[in-house]
Amino acid sequence: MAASLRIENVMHRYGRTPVLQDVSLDIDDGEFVTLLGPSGCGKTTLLRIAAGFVQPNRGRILLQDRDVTHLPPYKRPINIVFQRPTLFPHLNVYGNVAFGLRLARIPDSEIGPRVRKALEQVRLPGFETRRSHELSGGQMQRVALARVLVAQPRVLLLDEPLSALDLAIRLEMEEELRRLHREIGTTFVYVTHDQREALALSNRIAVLNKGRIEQLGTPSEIYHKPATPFIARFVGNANVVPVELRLFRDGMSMLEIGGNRLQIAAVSDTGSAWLVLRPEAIRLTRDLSGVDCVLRGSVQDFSYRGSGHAYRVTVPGLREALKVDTTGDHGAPFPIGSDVAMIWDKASAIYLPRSD
Amino acid sequence: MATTEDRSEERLPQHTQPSSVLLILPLTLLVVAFFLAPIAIFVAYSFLTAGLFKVLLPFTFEAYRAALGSNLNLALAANSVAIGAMTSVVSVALGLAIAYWLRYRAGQWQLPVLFLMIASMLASYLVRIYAWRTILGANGVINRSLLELGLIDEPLRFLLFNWFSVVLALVHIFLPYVVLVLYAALRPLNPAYLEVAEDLGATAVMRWRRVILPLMAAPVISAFLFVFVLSASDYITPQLIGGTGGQMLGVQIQASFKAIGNWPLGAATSLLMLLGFVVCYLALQAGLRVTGLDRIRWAS
Amino acid sequence: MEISARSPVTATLTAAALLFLYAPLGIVVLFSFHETPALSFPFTGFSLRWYREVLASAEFLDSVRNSLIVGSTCALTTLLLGTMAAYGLTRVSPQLQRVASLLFFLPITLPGLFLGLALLVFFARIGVPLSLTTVVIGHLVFVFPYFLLVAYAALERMDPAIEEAAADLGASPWMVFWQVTMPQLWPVLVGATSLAFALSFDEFVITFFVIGPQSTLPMYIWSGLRRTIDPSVNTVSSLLLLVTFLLFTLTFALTVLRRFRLDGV
Repeated sequence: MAASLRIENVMHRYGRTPVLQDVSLDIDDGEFVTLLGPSGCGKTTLLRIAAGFVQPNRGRILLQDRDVTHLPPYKRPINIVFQRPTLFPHLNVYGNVAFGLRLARIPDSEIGPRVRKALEQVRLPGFETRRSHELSGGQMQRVALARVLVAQPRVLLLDEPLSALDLAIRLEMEEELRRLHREIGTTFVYVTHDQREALALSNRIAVLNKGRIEQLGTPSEIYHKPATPFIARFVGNANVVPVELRLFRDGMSMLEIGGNRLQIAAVSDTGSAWLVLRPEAIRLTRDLSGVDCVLRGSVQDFSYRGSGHAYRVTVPGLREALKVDTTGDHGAPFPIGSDVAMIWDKASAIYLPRSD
Repeated sequence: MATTEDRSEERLPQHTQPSSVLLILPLTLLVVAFFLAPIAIFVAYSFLTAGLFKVLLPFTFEAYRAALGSNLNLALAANSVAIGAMTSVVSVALGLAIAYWLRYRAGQWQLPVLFLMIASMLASYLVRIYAWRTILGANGVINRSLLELGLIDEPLRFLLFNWFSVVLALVHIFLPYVVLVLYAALRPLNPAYLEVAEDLGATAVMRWRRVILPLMAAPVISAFLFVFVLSASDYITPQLIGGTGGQMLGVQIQASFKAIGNWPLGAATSLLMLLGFVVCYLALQAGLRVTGLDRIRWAS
Repeated sequence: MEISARSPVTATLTAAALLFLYAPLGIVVLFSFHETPALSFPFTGFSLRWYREVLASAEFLDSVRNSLIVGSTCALTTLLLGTMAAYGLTRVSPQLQRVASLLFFLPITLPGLFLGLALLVFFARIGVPLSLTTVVIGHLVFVFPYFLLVAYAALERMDPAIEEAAADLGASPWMVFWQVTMPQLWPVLVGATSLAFALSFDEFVITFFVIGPQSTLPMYIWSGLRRTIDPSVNTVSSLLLLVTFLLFTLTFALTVLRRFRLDGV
């Protein structure tokens, strides 16, 4: 199947600052792909290049195998929803949604039903005569969505469309976006710096950092098999700890962490590495016998989270305290200052190469 | 936007403290004594009749009849309207283009160009007219230089003192104001609105027609009226560089006071002129209201 | 937000407009240094003779002195009355504020010609002889709305919470004004006062009707203009341009640049 949207070796710089360095990405028809990264990683520029507002210094944008790199935005069957819902204040909701159709000189008899359908899709039926200042933030963003959906774009670009909204509305809108994507089946390319949003919405996530795609994969791959320490830290909460690995006798490895040496089941890596451990993968215990990995530490701080506790555990020789999330522990928490042991499954530990 | 509104609501107490009234009292007295009272007397004069070195009761419409009955006045009024309209159309059209460039395209040039625009605004009014008088005319810099360099044999006609030179000088005076007003009006029009329009299929022409002009309608009308009223009522520029073809009603009004000495006639003529301005204002405002463009509410 | 430079039409128009605005002024300044009275190219040589002539003219110096007196009297009166009124306006009930603002901004809507005529008739009617005093009064009515506009906008932008905090800490209204409001407001007031001065210094449309036997600088230029071409008008105009430009640069630095910096634009 042809890629719906293909980004080929795109390079871009503002002045002397490179913002995108050789980015390539194939997005399939009907996919929901998220460009995730911290601010300044180039994700918005990439989206603006796809929409046509920015001409890349090098590289191509292909839409269904057609080169659209030099088409102006008004000639591309690609539409974008911005961070702030920019509804035209001189038009009501109907006028806003019909804006593109009127420009395309579609007869009024056809515009009416299409506007009505688009408003139904975003669950705002009957809002035609409202003015933008009479709408809430979430409603305005729904109208902005209807305004682009009505054009039936091949690809819909969304530039942090929820970041200006309150948390409760954001969660509700996430659900709406998932539903819309299911119902319409258009390709969605979504930009966000919010890893939670990215995990919740996407089929695939491209993590951008310093103008490059650091990892491309399903949300689960990105979360469970981060390719770099940056991704491990950026996506979800993680302990990223410098360790040394050595092969040990008969099927065992030696893990040096801080000043501690642990015997663990053999891993293929040796030498300097980063150990990535999710806080929820670590269990705390006082019983120190007979477990695979045991790391000793003492409780520095903890907070109650409802479903469990979030601990900070200091380990001798480690600069940063480890984060440990427990669930379902309804008894008394481990008091501050108490010695604890940390254990985790072999499968939940990820080792990434480290070069100092 | 919304925050400043909220703030002013918060700030205003529902009840006025006596001390605050004392603060605005001196200026109020000034306005009443030296603005409202003179206007009232001026209006009263327009209903009097001119006598020798004095004005006479009873109140009549004589001065108005004389003002309206004068063919010279009507011709000058037509000239004033034409020159005022031309000046304001040129100023607003050019001002829009410049304000657009300043707002969306200027980049690092924005502040320097803004500075130059405002700075030129303060150049003395008389100096500007004088500058154009130096440049235009049969003996002006351009015609004289061209003649002396042997490039032309007789002065270029369009550079002589006529309605064109008046419009040129008046645009020179009012353009910076228009640029500033329209630039300020463009501030809430975030570039994202134009990008949305472009994304939805609008070419540059469509963006002007469907987005910028409707949203700018109210400030454009204000700028137009501002320039129209001030240029149509100008009495100095036409005297200095109007020649015979560029004379205006303001000169005649001024003359009724300074030279002819028929104050009631001058007062009646100027009040009729003011009435014309008010009618223009009301008509344009009504047009805005009908199209619903009079009050654009920007969502914050 | 990056700006693409793809707007050749508006960019060209802006450049042309700047040329249109400054070239005539440039020519005036240029010919003020011309060694002959001729106002045409080719330019035959530079000389300061017109400056020497003008600066030695008692008539010119007299009109400058009068303009300085009128301008500063008008500016300082505006500063006092305008600041009081602007501060008062933020502290009265909404209804009174609406009425007072309408009254205060009314003079702006009336073209100078009519204001000048109305004052001429008024002073004649009440039997006040025309003098520099009547000029100052005319200028006050014309200038103060601009001052008020700037000062009031600045007061509106200020966060009321700061004044409330000061009042809460025990400051009297008088102390709040001088120790909290004024330190924030003074640059704007300096800017608005110099604006008032500049407007008054250059005012001609109203002055023409309400001036007595004395002369102000614009009146001096006017009489020069009425005569045949007089090269010393170039010189006077250049001096006037220099003064307004310097004054404006100061104002700009104090208000606009400061606001740009505060806005982070």
